[in-house]
Order: sequence, then C-alpha cells, then structure tokens
Amino acid sequence: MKVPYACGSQEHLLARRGFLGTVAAGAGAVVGGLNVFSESQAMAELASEQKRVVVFNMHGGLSQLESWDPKPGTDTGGPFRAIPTSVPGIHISELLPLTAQQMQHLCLVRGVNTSEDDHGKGAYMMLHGRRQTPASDYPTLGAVVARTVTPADPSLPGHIVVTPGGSGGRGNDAAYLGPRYSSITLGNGQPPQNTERPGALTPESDAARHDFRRKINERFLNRRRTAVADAYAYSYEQALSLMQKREIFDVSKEPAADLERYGTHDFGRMTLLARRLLENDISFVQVSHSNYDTHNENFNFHLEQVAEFDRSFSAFVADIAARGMLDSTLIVVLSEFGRTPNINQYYGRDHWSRAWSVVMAGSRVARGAAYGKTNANGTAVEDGQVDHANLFHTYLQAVAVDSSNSFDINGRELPFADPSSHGIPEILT
Amino acid sequence: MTRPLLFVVCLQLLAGSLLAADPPTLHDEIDAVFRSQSAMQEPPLCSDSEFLRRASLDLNGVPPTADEVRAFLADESPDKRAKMVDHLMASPRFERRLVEFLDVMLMERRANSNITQDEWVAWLQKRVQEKKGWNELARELLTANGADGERAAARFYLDRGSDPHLLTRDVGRIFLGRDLQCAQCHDHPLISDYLMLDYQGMLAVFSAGYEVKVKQGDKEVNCYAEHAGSDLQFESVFFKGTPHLSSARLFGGAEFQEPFFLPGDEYSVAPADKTIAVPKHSRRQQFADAATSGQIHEFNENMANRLWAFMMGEGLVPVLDVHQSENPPSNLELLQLAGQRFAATNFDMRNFLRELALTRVYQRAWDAPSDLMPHSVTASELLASAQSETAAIEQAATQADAALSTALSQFYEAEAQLVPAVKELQDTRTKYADQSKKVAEALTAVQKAEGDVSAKQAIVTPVAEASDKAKVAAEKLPEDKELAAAAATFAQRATQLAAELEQLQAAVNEKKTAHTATVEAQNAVKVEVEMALAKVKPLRDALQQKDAALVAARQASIRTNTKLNSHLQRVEALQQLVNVKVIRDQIAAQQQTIQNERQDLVLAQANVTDYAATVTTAQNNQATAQQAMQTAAAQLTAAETQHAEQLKKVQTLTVALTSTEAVQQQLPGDELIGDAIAKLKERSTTLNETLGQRATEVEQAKNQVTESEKQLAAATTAMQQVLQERDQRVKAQQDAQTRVDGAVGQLATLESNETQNHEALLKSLSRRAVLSDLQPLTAEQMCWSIFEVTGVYERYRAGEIAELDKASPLSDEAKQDPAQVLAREREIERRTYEKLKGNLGVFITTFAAGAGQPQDEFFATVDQALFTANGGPIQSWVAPAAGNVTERVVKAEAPEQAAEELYLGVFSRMPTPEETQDVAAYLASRGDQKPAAAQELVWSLISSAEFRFKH
Repeated sequence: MKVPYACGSQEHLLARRGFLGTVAAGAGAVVGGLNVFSESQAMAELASEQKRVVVFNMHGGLSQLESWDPKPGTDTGGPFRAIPTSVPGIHISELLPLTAQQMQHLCLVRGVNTSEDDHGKGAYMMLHGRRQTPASDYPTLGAVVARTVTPADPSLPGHIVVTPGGSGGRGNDAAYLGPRYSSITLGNGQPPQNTERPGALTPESDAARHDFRRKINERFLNRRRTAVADAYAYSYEQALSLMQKREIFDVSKEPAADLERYGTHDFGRMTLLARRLLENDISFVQVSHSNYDTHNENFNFHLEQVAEFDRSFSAFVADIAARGMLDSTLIVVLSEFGRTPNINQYYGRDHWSRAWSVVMAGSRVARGAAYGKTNANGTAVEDGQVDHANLFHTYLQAVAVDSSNSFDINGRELPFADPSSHGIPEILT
Repeated sequence: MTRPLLFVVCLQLLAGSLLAADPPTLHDEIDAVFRSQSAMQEPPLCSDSEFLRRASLDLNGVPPTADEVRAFLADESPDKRAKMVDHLMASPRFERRLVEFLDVMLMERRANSNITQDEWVAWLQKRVQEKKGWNELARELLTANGADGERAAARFYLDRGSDPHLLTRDVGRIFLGRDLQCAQCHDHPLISDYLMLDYQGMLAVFSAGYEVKVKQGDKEVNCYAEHAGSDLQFESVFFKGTPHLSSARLFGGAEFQEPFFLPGDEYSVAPADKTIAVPKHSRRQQFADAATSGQIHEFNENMANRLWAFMMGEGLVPVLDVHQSENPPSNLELLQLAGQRFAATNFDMRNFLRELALTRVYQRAWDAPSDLMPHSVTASELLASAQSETAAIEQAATQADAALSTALSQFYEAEAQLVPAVKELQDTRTKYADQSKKVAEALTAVQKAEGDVSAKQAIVTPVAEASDKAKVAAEKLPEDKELAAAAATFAQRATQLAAELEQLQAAVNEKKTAHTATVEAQNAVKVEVEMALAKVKPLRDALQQKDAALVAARQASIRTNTKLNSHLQRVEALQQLVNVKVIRDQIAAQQQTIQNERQDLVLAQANVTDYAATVTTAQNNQATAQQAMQTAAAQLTAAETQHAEQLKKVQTLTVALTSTEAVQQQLPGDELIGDAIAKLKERSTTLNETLGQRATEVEQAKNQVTESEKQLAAATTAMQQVLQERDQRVKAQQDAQTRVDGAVGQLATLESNETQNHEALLKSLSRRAVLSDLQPLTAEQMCWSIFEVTGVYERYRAGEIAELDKASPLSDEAKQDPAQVLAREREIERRTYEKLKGNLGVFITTFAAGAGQPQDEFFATVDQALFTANGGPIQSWVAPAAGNVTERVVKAEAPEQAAEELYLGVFSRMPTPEETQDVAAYLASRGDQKPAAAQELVWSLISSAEFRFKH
C-alpha cells in the first residue's frame, strides 16, 4: 500500500507545506485518506474561487405556513396574511416584511418532502443529506464543505457552528473525514477556546518559548523527517496564526450601527458574526435560531420569532449582496421539518415533513425564484418535489463541488452525497 | 554506538544458549523470520534511553522518570532491557494500560448509555488482573446478555443499541479484523475478499439478538436477549430477483450446523415481556465458541496484529480492521506465526506483549540510517530474485481466483436448488405453527367446556341432594302442601339442571372431538414438515459440500492474493532500496554532466569574449570606409559646384562675346571693338580651359566616390560576417547555458526523487521492521505522560501512599508477601487514578477521534496546539512544584545541570552539548526570571514532536 507522504510526484512535494494544514497523516494505520494529496488537488480544481456556505438552522421546525409558503384564507392558513415581495408574483408571509424586500436574491424551494417527523432523525437528514443508519455515520454538510471547498486561509477553521450556548470546542460531526473537519463551536459568540495567550506570559516570553520549541522540533525532524511530526509541528504555527486573527471571531468589532440593524438579540449578534466570519473567508458557518417547536400557540410564537429572524436575515442578505459576496456565498435556511397544516386544539402546529420549504440564495442558485408548489391548503406537494438528499447535492453543486465525487478513505470510496440521488438542476444557473 | 553493539552480541549469545536447551521462543522466531527476509542484515538498535522511554510508554503508558533513566543508563548488566520489560509489566500501570487498550479497542469511546465507564473499566480490570486470555474475554463479551453473569460484559452489545447491523460491522471489525460494511447489500465492490454472504452470515447471528427491558433490583434495565434464529433471505442490489439463504457463518467459513426444532419447540424460555428468552440453540453461543476456538485464523491474527500495532506502532496488517489481500501484511509468514503462537498460548495477552517487547525488532533504532548504499548494492540481487518469482505467484493467484469463481457459481447453483425446498419447509413450518395455534385454541375450548361442566356440576349435585331430601321430607309430611310444592320445585329444577349438565357434557365431547381433529391435522402437517425437511436434507447436504469447497477455494484465493500483494510490496520495498544507489549514481552522473556542460559554457563564453576585438576592428573598418565615402561624396559635391560656377562664367562670357560680335557687325572695323572681341575670345579660351579642368576634377571625384562605395560595401560585408559569427558564438554560449540550466534542473528532479525515495524507503523499512516508526501517544498516554513529567502523578501517588500507610499500614510480614505487596500497589494505583481521572476527559476530546470512529488514526489539529499552548491546565502543571522537573531546573546551579534535569525529566535522555548550550542561553537571556524561564522550557519540550510521539 502506498504511503501518502511519499506519493512520488513533483507537484506533491512542492505543495507539501501548503497541505500540511489538512494532513491527517498516517501513523498507526494508513490514515487520514490515502489520497490526502491527490484529493486536495482534485478539490483545488473543483473550487478554485473561494466559496462559502452559511446555514440558518431554524431549530425545532419552522412553520412553512407562517413563513415561505403561506395559505391565507384556507382552513389551514392561520391568521396571517401573505404579502407581495420584490419579485412580482411571489408572496410570502406578512411576518417577513423585510425579507420580502430581498426576494430578488432568494430562491424558495416549496416542494420539500422528507417523510421524517422525528426531530433528531430529521435534523440528521437535513444536515447530512442521508438517513442515519446505525452501522454508518456520515459527515455533516459543514464537514463536507470544509473538506471540499479549498479555504483561502488554511490556518482558520473551515467549519464553524455558532450557538447561543456551547463549549467553544471541537464537535464530533465529521465522521470518517476526521477531526480536522469537525465543527468548532463558538458558544455565546466567544472565539474558539484557548486562543488567548496565557496571562502570566508576556508576548516576548511567549515568542521565546515558541522559538525554543521550533528549535527542538527542527533537531528532531533532522534526525528523520516524517509527515506526522511535520504536521504536528505545523499545527502550532497554525495556532499562532489563528491567535493573531482572533478578532475575526469578535463580533464586538463590528460597528454598533450594524448590530442595531441586525437586532441586539442573540440571533442578531450571531448573524452579524456569521457575516464577519464569511468576510474573513471561513468556508462554512452554521447559525441556529431556537426554538420553533410550536405544538402550542404556534401563531404567537411565530409572530415573535419570525420577526426576530426577519430583521437579522434580511440585513444579512442585503449586506452579502451589497458587499459583492453573493456570487461566492451559498445561503441556506432549513429546519428538521415544517409544521402541520392542521391547527391543533392548542392553536399549535405539529411535526410535518410531507410538504414544507427550504430557502437558498447566492452562488449558483437562481435569484428571485420559487421552485416547487404545494396544493391549495398546503397538505401535499403538487410540483417540484425534493427531499433532503436532493437538497444536499444542490448545496454542494451550488458552490461548484461535483456532488457525484467520492472521498477516498483508506481505500474506501465514500460518496460526497447520497449516490442514489441527485441535485435540482432547475434552480442552478 | 558501542553500547548497542555490545548488546547485540549479548543478545545473540543469549539466543544461542536458549536455542541449545529449549524450543525457540516466539521473540527469537520473530527475529529469525525478519532476519531471513530482510535486505539489511543486523539493522541498528535504539539507544538505552530510547528503549526505556519506548518500553515505559508502551507498557506503563508514561515515560520513565529522570531517576529511572539514570539508573538504567548506569546499569551494566547485559540483560537489562529484558529485565526492564518484566519490571514494567509487573506494575499495576501495565494492567491499567492494557485495560485502556481493551476499552478503546472494544468501545471506541462510545457513550456509556447502559453501563457506566467505572463498571466497565472495573470489569475489564478484573479480567486483566485474573490474566484471562483474549479468547475467554471475547467469549464472555460475545455471549453476554446483561442479566446473567456480570452485566458490564454486555456493554459491547448494549452501548451499540443492540443494533444487528452495527454489531455485524463492529464484531467483524474488532474481533475478526474485517470491515464488511460495504458487503451489506452486494459483494464488496472494491474488496474481492469480502462477500455479501459473509455479511449476511454474521447478520444471521446478530439479527437474532434483541434488546429487552428486564427488572433488576428496583429498576428496569436493558438486556440483550436472543430469538431462535431463522434463515434470512437476501438478494444483492446488483442482481435483483435471485434470492439467497443466509445461514449463520463466520467470515470465510462454512455455514453453521443447526439442530431442527418444530415451531413452538425452539425455546427453553419463550420470549415474553420483561423476560430474557432462551433459545434451545443459541447462534451467538455457537458463533462465540467457533470464533474463539483457536481454529479461526482470522480471530487469532486479528488480535495478534492489534497487539503488534500496540507495541510496534503499526500492525503487520496496517489498516487494523481491513485484513484483506489488497491490504496485505508486511510479512505474511510472521502474521501467521504470530496468530498461531498467540492462540497456542491460550491467547495470553501479557505473554504475547512480553515476547514482542523482547524482540530485536522492537528495539530497532528510529533514526534514519546514515548510509544505505551498501544495503542498496546487496538489495539488487534480492530484487532480481524476487522479481523472478513474481510471474509464478501471479499465476497462482489467477488460478486460485478462477477456482474460486467456479466454486462460487457451483455453490450458488446448489443454493438455487435448495432455496425452493427451504421455502417449502418454511411454508410447512408456518402451517404447522398455524395448526399448533388451532390445537391450542381447541384445547382451550375443551378446557373451557370442562370448566363449564364442573361449574354446573357444582350446582347440580347440591340441588339433586336437596331434591332427594325434600322428596323424603315431603313423603314424611304428606299433609304439608307447601313442602310438597317445594319438593316438586326441587325435583323440577334438578331434572332441568341434569339436562343442562348433559348438554354441557355433550359440548365437552364435541370440543374433545374437535381437539382430536386438530391434533390429527397437526400430526398430518408434522408429516408434511418432516417430508419437507427430508426434501431439504439432501439438498442441504449437497450445498454443504459445495460450501466446503467454496470455503477452501476462498481461503486459497485470499491466501494466494495476499501472498501476491505482500510479494509485490516486498519488491517495491527492495526497489526503493535499490533505487538508493540507482538515484545516487544518476545524481553523480548528472553532476558530472553539469560539470562538463559548465566547461563547455566557459569555452563558449571565451569564444564570445575573444571575438570581441575582431568585431571592433570590423566595425572600425566599416566606420572608416563610411568616413571615406562621406569625404569622397563631399569632394564630388565641391567639384561639381566649382564646375557649375565655371560653366556659368563661360556661359556669361559667351553671351558677352556674342553681343560684342553683333556690335562689330554694326560697327565694322572699330578697333576697340575688335580688340575687345579679341580679348574676350582670349579670355573665353582660358575660361574654357579651366572649365575643362573642372570637368576633369568632377570626373575624378566621381571615380573617388565609386571607389569609396566599393570599399564601404566590402567593409560592411566583412562586418556583417563578423557579426554573424559573433551571433553564432553568443548563441553557442546561450545553448551551453541552457544545457547547464537543464542539467541543474534534472539534478534537482533527481534529488527530489531521492528525497521521496528516501522517505518511502524509511516508511517501508519501518514496516519491514528494519527501523522503528513514530507512534503518536494516545489521549490517555498524553494525559498521564504530562502528569508524569510534571510531577503531578507522583505528588498524588505520594499522598495516597501516606494515607494508606496511616490507615492500614502493611506489617513487616505482609511486606514480604508478594501477593499483598501487589494488592497494595494496585490499591495505590487505583486511588491515584481515581483522583486524577477527571482530567482525562479534556485530553480525550482534544486528542482522540470522535466516539464510534476508528481510534488509531493520527491527526494534528489547531485546537490541540491551542490547548497545549494556552490551556489553563498545562500552564499550571508546568509551574515549579515539590521537586518536579521545573523546580529541579530552577534549583540547578550550573546550566549543564539544568539542561540535564530538563532533558532527562521530559525527554528521558541526556541533552547533547548543543542542547545544553541552548538551555544555558535561554536561562541567561531571562536573567532573574529563572522560574518563569524554566517553566517555559519545560513547556517547550512538552509541546514538541519529540514528546508527542513514541520513537
């Protein structure tokens, strides 16, 4: 079996330093993907322009009827009206007046049918593009993007999850892609853990001890150079580089006026942080908005929650477009599922995966479009039905990744996305 | 170098003396196999300090202390390495290390949903302390149900959610070294060794398992019970419509023989709510017994390979859970030997690890060999000989594959014959089960009718008795009408009841008849079942024959393909070794070429330089000719001007003469006029003469110009020739430069080839046990090693010892009893572990792969570096404290002493003079901040690659 470090071509040797950041190099086993190098190169060919993905995860299950696919005046429509948007002919819920003004950038996918009404399973499917099976775990969208979309700056984490709580540490969501592509959680909008120099050290003494460390490593590597030792030594240089860029994660560096526009609530702050991260070339950012699981008082909850979302999201979309980033940034708004057309006795709506909506924008996604259609009272998809796997393919294709490609993990070919499914060509330009 | 060499001699003497008396030990056998196949005779061994660090990390999970290193270096006994191995293995920390290894291997850091980590670790620890063999441990794990015996053993099943597919995959990976996941729905597309029937055969075992809640004490817990197995049918997603049978089987083995039970007769305890069903035949038991019997080389070699990787850094089969011919062992013979000997010693893990630790292979040096050239030379012969074998091995593999293909199609043919019969048997079984249900229903009806009779009887009897008695009483008191009426009523009721009873009895008989009918029908179905069974039997026997042939063909195919790939890898490795000289020679030749080309370049440059004068002369000549040409042209112009001026004078005079002659005609004879004419004529003559002269001068100047033109043309031609020559010489120089550049570029390519070949070769040499390899410390090793070198562990340990000595001191007598001493050591280790284990979590989340992922892959991520660089815990542990390395560095008066403490304390070796200088310079640069400086130095060493890896 070939050793990845000595794969024998000139380009690989030359490019070695650049790749060290992504090497999960072999030690115990033949590890981290036999084709670490050739694969990275393939990736470079796939996405030469820096692409980015941001996912807004509407935790708990956003009601499509109170957002993207309103059915006013029907038995299932609830109390809210539909309003016109900046795109003639497309109407969305009156709870999204600001977002309605950004419709020229958005693409509504209204025919989503995922047939899974369990929170955990639905969330897994939407973020992994496949059903969870006990014997095989798949990497999340963020890990796949971090691995397939070549980052402009390899010292920055490629997969960030912004949550209201959280540890600030590494997640376990990259499956066979390995911890290099696992999410780093920014809890409470705090920068990643341990990115501050210990208080007891002066900058000079910190520099001195790192110099001494480098000297020791150099001596050790001179005894015998190996990929694993190289990669380990290099991880400290990446760490120092990240420490210097710590401000990237500090949303308080953004102008106060922007925070005012986004809203001074958690979600506003997190969305503004997402903008900051994307501007600094982080490949993948996921922001959660909690909690839409409105079995009771669906309408009151949505009135409040969707208003919060509307403000932050519309400002975000407008900014990304105004800053010329929309062509390289895929924006996704998803949930684990939608909510029942039927209104229960507690004025709530329950779990519903048969006919709901996902929103995309940017990169190769069609602008100002609505794809797919539900029937008059929203109880079934009439046209353009898609599921989690179609969407997953589409996300990747939208950022110029060939979703039919496979990872090579220890000689096992593992497809980027469900090989029995495909993307939605109708909404890709 | 003298020490290892001396040691080599000693070991050989030792080996020699052993050979004379006893059968060879496993470590000698291993070394012998390597020696017979190695392209490098007697590769160098590592230094004593490197050996000590390596063995301590492997066997105790931590590096040695500075004092241990000092003592070991000072020890001059020839067998000190072997003694050290035994010393380390006697420590409770060895047991801890083995427990951690087993825990991580078996559970891959999955969440503790059913069994707490403490219970699980305690269970493993008990097994390790009891020195249970791997076979026993595996059997216990594979047959556990969480209710009988110790519940913790069921963690393997329960904390995988008892999912049959996950268990099929993980039992395959962890116990048999085969990840069959991709053979779940079709024969493996990439790994020809793995068939769908392997997956389905294991699934047939684990799909019989199921989770059931059972009351234990005052709570309900999950247990892993088992149904009676059934023949699953499956079809490949590639070839739909062809059903297969999946009988239970081990990877690569024949289907298990199972007893036949009629429906309803399969269980000793039937499945029920909150009950652990017990089938009369347990597939799981059969699977566990077969796997651990010592006869299954996959089971034996899997663990031997994992233990090999535990010690050597990489398994003989590098990807531990994908044993297959495309991932061949680096040494096939050795893998087989290791598997057999491991099984033959009753799967004794300690003994096996000890044998590995005693091999010379384990003691190989890690450093790149200084000179590979002599080995490269000897390798060419080996390579030629190996290459000459390739064709034959390839042919054998092709033949084996063809035989397998035949065996497989014959097997499937036989299976196709059997499938309808099995289907029929299943149908009759279903029918029998239905009929059994009817029998049971009929029996229930009989029982109910009999119950009705008894109930009625209970009324009939007293009423009849009362009626008789009333009759007697009425007879005795004939007058009493009321009594007579009552007696009549009784009699009437008694008669009525008797009639009712009779009806009920009739019903009983009816039900009994019905029951008998169902029993008869059942017996008839039973005959059908037996007939179906009889029909199945010969077909099944036929299939089993084909199955046996298939098993043999598969083993042969896997063996020959493994041999082929193993051979090809050996050829590749030899080629790499041969390439050392080939590339070096190419480089030398290329350097010569460069030298030659450079000489040519110098000559060409001289040619250009030397010609410069010629160019200048030609250019000057041309310039001179140009100048002459210009002069001549100027002279011509001047002559022509003068000629023109003269001509003008002549013409003017001619006009004057003509006019005067005209006057003379009008004044003939006028003397004055005549004189004037004469004078004018005279002047005209002289002027014309001058004009003639001027014309001649013009002619001459013209000739001069023509001449100059010729000369200029000649000079220009000459110059052009010279320039052409110069251009040729310049081009020759440029060509020479290009050749030099090209040759230098080729040299760079060759040198880069050499680097790559070198790296690949070192990796191959590590794989072939000529060199040792780097092995990253596990999360646990990182944690305990940092605690060890920073003195944290010792501080806590001392505290526990003091507490124990106070609470329950060992008597002098007890101190002489090895059992009691060991028990005390274990107690101290356990208590210290308990105090510190809370810190493990952060190391596991930082340095270990995610839960449920393979745990043997190295990765270096930014968050690890950030944790080590800036995390609070490590900063606090490297602070000076109670005699730890930082404090010893601070207290050292001379910088040499500080450097020694630092390097012995963290790297377990003496510093080199340069390193000592570095330490001295660092401390000096920090003046009076020595404690801070010492702390920074300790941190630098801990965060270095030398600490992060075992080498």
